[in-house]
Amino acid sequence: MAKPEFPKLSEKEFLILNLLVSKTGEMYGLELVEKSEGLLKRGTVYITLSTLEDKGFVAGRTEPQRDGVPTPRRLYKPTGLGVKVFRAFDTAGGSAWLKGAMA
Amino acid sequence: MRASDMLRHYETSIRDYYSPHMEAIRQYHDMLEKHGLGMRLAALDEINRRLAIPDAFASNTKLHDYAQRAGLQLPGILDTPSARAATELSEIFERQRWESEALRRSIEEKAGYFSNNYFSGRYFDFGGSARYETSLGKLMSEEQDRLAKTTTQAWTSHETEIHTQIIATGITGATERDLEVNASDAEEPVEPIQQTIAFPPGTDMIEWARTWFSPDRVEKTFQPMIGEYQEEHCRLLSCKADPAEFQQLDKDYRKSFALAVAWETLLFVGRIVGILKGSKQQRD
Repeated sequence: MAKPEFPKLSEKEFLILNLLVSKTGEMYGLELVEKSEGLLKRGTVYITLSTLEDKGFVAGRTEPQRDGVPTPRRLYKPTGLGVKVFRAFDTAGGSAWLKGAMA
Repeated sequence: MRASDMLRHYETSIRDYYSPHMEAIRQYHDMLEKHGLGMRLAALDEINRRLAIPDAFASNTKLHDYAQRAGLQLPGILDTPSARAATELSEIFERQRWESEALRRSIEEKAGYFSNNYFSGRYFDFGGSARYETSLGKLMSEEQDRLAKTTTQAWTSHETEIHTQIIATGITGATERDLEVNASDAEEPVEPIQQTIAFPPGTDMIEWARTWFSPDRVEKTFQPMIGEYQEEHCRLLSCKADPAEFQQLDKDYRKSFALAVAWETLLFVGRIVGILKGSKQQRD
């Protein structure tokens, strides 16, 4: 029987999930960068978000096209699985990990 | 020549300089609106709005600058509040001129790009919203030629105006040379600004990503990045940010884009290696 694989979460992924779970509603990549107080950078946030989306922890949707901006942005929210994984990491000391990263 | 006459001359010359540009910008505005290029429209609106600032203030300062170089006295104007305001406004005026020039060049480049793409059999597509047809390629090429002509004419008339002033006031040869240098100096700052402003920004990056990566990767990684880059660019435009801020933003997002390309390439290689390993294990 195949061994069940425990979900993996990097520091940045945990931080993004933390921000998404703590906010009701969807967020943009840039909003996450601003809210992270310097922990997330523009250079990595989009890559990390796409990885989270591939893992199924985050659901993204393309926003409707608006006047003035030809390329639509993407809005993100945590999935049920994402919330569960976040809670599991949080219970296992994820917040302390995050605090260590923030220190 | 009296100061008021000189002021009138310069106002006329500045208006002459702007009018062909404004007409060209308006024509592009209509054309771009037809093809749904909103980002450019926002930028053009911003420039049009800024151009509404009275030119008289700026020309007032310019007049003083020329008059001082020519050794003429224009009493009673330099110390007035309007002259002080003119100093500030002249900076704005200069920036507008550079921006409109940069915009013109950017549009010209784009026009060339559209035409080249069309003639090589490719179509340019902004987020699947617009398909460019033969008429657009031709129209933009014609506009490009026309703009180049009007710019040359505008500068020629501007320089002729300066020569008229020189002859009318009987300025010496040395001062005449100074004024000629001054007139040619005005063209120089266009280059660095041109690098800063490109409309719409990030288009080159998203098109490149679409060429090399799957639609899924573009949608998940590159599109959100460029979307927010354009959003920030719009925000900077609306708060009249310094060109340095535009440059910084462009630098940041190009770095992000390079990182994303490297990451996606690594992922792709990883997937290939995974597939190869899987097929080898099956054979064994």
